[in-house]
Amino acid sequence: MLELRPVETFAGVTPRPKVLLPDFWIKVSDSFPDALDHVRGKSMKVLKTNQIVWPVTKIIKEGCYVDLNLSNDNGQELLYPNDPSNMYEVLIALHPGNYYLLPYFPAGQPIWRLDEPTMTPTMNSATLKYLGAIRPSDSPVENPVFKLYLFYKLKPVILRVVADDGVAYEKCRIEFQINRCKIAQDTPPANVTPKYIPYLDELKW
Amino acid sequence: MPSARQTANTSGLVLVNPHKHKIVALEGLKVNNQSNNDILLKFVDQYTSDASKTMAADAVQAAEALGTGHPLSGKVRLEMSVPTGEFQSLGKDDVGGIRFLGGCAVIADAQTSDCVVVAQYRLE
Repeated sequence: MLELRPVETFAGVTPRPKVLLPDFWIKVSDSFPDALDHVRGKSMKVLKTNQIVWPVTKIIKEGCYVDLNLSNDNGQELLYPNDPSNMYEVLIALHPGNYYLLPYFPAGQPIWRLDEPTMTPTMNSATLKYLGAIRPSDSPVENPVFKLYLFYKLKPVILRVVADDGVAYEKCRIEFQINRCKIAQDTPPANVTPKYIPYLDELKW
Repeated sequence: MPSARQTANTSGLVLVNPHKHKIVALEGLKVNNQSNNDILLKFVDQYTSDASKTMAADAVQAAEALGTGHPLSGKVRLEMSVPTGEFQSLGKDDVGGIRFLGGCAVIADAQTSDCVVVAQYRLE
């Protein structure tokens, strides 16, 4: 299959908000585990939101990495909600630099891989360490597109911050733009299509 | 654009303090050496790295202090020699690519208040 797409043209484009706003709806996947039955398979209405920015900076030697555990476990980044009625929509913005991120969920299990069994992120491989890497240019501070949805009792999401070769040390600056949402179960109106939130494991097919 | 002034000092003097989440980007440099000697200046980056793991062997890479205990152990980002009686001015074209992950300190090979260093910089 080969496709050569013509230049797309748009007319009457309606701007779409980047984050969830009050009165928006979400539909949480049925694939969430039992521990998250407070949201599993449910339609939820966003009651109110506020946005909080939290910068995290690590100076890392080249060829090394730091695992950021976003959960509220002791000594971790504490970026999870502590209340079942809260959900965090987290935009992850990356300042420029010679580094990249590899997301894991749960620890040790990369979210992205290819079909061939060897095509999985591998730290001690000169080539496979880049598989699925999210570079600063992919989710820049001016327009972050890398997003996570974090729920109470979700297993820890790990962001591996890798300082790439060639700069001796890198100051890896990550800005978490957290849209803190108060949510409640309800039935969406017939004319509304809720935003579907898959479980992270669903991305690992 | 902020600027900072120091004089030549063999122990090193801090020009710019480190910012937790920003990088110091040098924009310009002016050195007026009215002392009786040529002066060699080193501009060092001062920071402490975070503990990490190596990709090659998954071994622990301990945190390292570079120049935070003493400027002389910092990572040298720029070195320049200024002859006696000279005023040197470097613009953005000359120093624009030089960045400091932590703070910036200047170390001289002779100590004199007759050699003045002014750095123009941006926090990005």
